[in-house]
Amino acid sequence: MKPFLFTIVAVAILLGLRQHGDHARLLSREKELRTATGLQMADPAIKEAISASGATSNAGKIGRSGKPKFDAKSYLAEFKKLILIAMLRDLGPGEDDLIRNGLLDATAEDLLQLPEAIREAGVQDNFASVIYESASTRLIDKAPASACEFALKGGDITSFLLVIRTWISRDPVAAGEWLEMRSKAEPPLNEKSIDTHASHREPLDVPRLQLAARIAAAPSGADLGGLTELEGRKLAATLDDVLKVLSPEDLPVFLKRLNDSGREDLVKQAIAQHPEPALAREYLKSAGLPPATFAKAAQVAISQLDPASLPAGMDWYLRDTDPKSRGPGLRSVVKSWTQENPRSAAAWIATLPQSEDRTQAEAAYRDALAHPRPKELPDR
Amino acid sequence: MTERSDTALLDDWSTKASEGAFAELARRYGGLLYHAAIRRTGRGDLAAEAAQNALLILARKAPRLGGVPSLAGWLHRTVCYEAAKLLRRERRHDARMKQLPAPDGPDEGEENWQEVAPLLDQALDSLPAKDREVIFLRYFQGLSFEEMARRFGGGAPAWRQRGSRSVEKLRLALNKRGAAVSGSALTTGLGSALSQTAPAPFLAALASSPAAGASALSWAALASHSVHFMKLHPATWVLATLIFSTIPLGLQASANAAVRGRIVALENSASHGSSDAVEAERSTARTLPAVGRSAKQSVLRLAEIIDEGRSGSRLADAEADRWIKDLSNEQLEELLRESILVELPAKKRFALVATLFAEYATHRKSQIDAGKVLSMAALLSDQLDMKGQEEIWGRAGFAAKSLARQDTEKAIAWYREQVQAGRLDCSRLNLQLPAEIHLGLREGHPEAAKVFYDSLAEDERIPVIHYFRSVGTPEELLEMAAKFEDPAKRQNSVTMLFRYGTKDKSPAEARAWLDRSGVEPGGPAAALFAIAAEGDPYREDGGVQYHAGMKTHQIAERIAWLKGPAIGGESPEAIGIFLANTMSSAPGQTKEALDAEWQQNPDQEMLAAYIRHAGTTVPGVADALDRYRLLTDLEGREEILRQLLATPAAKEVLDMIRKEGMSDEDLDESQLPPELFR
Repeated sequence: MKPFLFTIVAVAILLGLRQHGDHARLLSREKELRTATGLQMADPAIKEAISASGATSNAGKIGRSGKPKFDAKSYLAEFKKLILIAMLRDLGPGEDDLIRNGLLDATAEDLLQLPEAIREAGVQDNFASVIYESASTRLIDKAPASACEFALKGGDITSFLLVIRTWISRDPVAAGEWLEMRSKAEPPLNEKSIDTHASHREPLDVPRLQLAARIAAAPSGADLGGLTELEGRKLAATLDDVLKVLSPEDLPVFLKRLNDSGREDLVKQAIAQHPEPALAREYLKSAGLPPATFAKAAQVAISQLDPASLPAGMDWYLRDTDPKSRGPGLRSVVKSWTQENPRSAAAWIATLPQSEDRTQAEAAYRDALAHPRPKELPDR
Repeated sequence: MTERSDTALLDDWSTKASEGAFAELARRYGGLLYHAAIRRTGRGDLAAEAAQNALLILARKAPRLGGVPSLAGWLHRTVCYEAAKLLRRERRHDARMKQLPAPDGPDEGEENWQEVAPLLDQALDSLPAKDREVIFLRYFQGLSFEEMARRFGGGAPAWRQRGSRSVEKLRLALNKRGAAVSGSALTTGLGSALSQTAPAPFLAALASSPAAGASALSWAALASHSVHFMKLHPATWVLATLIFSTIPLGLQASANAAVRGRIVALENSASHGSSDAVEAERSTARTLPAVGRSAKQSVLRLAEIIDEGRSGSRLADAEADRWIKDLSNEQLEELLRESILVELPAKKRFALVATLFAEYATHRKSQIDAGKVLSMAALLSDQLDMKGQEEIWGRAGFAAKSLARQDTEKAIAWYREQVQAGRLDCSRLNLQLPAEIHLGLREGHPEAAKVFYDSLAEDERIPVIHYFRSVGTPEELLEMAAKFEDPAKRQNSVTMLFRYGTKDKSPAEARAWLDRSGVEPGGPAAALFAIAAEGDPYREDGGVQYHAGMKTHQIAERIAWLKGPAIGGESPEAIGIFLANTMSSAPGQTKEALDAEWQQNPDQEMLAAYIRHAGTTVPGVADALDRYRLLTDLEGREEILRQLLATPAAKEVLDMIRKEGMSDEDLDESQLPPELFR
């Protein structure tokens, strides 16, 4: 054993020495060429980026360096010009990108000073709402309460929900306290505080967010009555809020409690609605559900995956469920997978060893090919 | 006298080698270490040794532990590792250790505590660090939550919350290990188990000479503690050695490759006498990150940002745009390839792939070779759902058209190959690709386009005809449509011509088109007339008519158009279908127009067609149910009702009715069969 390990290390050292020699030679050649072409390695921006990246050809690395500094005055001057143009004519596509792009290099501190700068620049709040909305999400890390106030001033319900849900997921207690405080303030935070729009028709539901915050803060102790007594759309919307803010490691206890409350259907619905199906799948095992409930929930978890995630998901399903009872679930998932993408389903089935699972999967595959899903014709 | 903080004592030990400070730490934590170790090993001698080792490790690592919020938590974990290591040593070398004596548990009388105590340390060890810390701060150091908030920031309620969540997690961890314990028993037990003091002789021994002990502790012991090598299999050693040997080699090779790349660029620059390479390098430097990321990390982060953008964050949208615009073509390709390898929720993956591929195939179409775009599309579509496949092939349309323009044979061969492989299956997917290729061929080789069309299956011809409408004449299009054998597909192929091409046409002209297309009389013909009556949805001012909805008088005008003599026997059915269609955009106006029409001309065939086709919207279904009683054919109307109730909108209405309940009188009045509504 020891000589073997020693040999590996020795070979690695020899190769390393050789590569080091190559490196020195290559650097020297590069230096010569730089002198000839006039590019100096002393250029700090290039040097920093190259040394940080390690390789110029590494396509996976993305990002940028050398951020320009945000200047509120010039940003607001440009913004005022834009308002004037909008008063004279309709803005062209992308013409108002300045509003969001101009804030990209602003720090949280810059953004927190924006209200004052907006006042000083004489921009009215109704015009500035789009600035507040754009800035709100950038403040979540540094000043979540201000982020919520910005989003409220922004007046866009989807932005506000994004900000408040992110805060609840990170600090349910503080976010819950803020919701409590704001719902008692004057004017109170309620369904009238923020308008809905075409892509989000449902009004703001503060009690629902508070319930989600309470459950996220104490998943093993919070009263679930406000959730388990609901039905239909209200139930789906409430569950959606809870799942978006609940920490993944708290999912098992939450699922267990749903099951213990006699609502096995909610366990399946929670898995189906979970925004991160792969995570839900991983935590499902720890929920300590009865085997039959687990099998049903596992099938739901797998059914949410797309063809790119299904091979890993199905391997998990075959590994963790009872071979005797998983037949119907396996057939159902393979059938809908085949209808979605027969090539990908066939490739996965080919990886299975000869077994009952493979026989079932092949039968489901053939069945799906024989009964394709009716094509949805585009509306023309 | 105020007790000195752990940080101050550690600092004294690290900087001034103050043995007094170390002795104080040993006194403070000796009990915790000894009892944790004894719970783990069951033997006093081993417990003492483990505790001693833990303290010696503390002595060595003290300079780096100043920032640890709870030293107790760190020491607990350390002593557990040490105890486990000693236990393994003992088990290996001493057969007697196979029968470990029962651990010296805490006092009897507490609920299930006997059962819990041996598992306590394992359970504690399994908790996330932040939970372990708060438990030690509360039950070992005895800090109140207010005190924690003062010392470490945050509010007392938050710390209280964190404390109760951590204890609950611990309780669950114990449950998982088969030890059921209530929350109150656990908190009481924790208080006593974690705050026990160590036996006096042990305390005296361990603090006698920390400096000597610390220096005697071997490098190997510290290393093994740090990386937890206790459980390694020999094969793991080999693997670890290989990994540790090859990683530096890989990094060095990668750095060498980078230098080689730069040298090639510089050599090219020198040979061409231009500053392109310099510019290229500046550009590369700008787009590369300050902190290197792997393609996988980049893809995950980008998916997150795009999703955030789609969830309402304008800045995230802007950030994603900027990232993607800054990518080189090669970087974009690598991210696209990675985007189908990482595990992502379907919605996130769709948004990511669609955004990246739009940049690749559409925004950079002048830079990227058509063949490369099509290969990438094939690679991606193999891993996506139907929606994703349609999106990708839709975006790849330009490349297919461009290939057809450049190289007829290559484009047709490529298309056939994809069809054969099952990727371009128009019976399953809505694909425009045959149409793009047809258009590309038609620009340079009209004959080849004709041959290509004739070689297509009927499902593939439909998009060709839909696209052809914008370049060909109605006559050519009707001729192409007449070649369909399947009547439904024939009808589908001319739908767009009737919707967009019959504006200002008389009913006679519409009838002539219908006859030339070969669409069957009766229902299919009536449906096309209804579509023609809806007219071009684009208003004169460029707006979309449907979104605004028709006015009542406009609906009445169209009904009059549908009554033209040329429409013939299909007229009543066409009016019914037309009204069912306009319900989706102008329900109020449609109802008014239908009431007026019914008053003048109570045509049963029109009403039957209206009810049969009203299932596209909830208001349509509700209105149709209201008018059901006006149908006089008692035998035939139930069949029509069943057809209506099979539609998704009707199912929604049925759910509402069943939930709210419908009285017998209401059902009687509407003449709806009760068994279908309960």
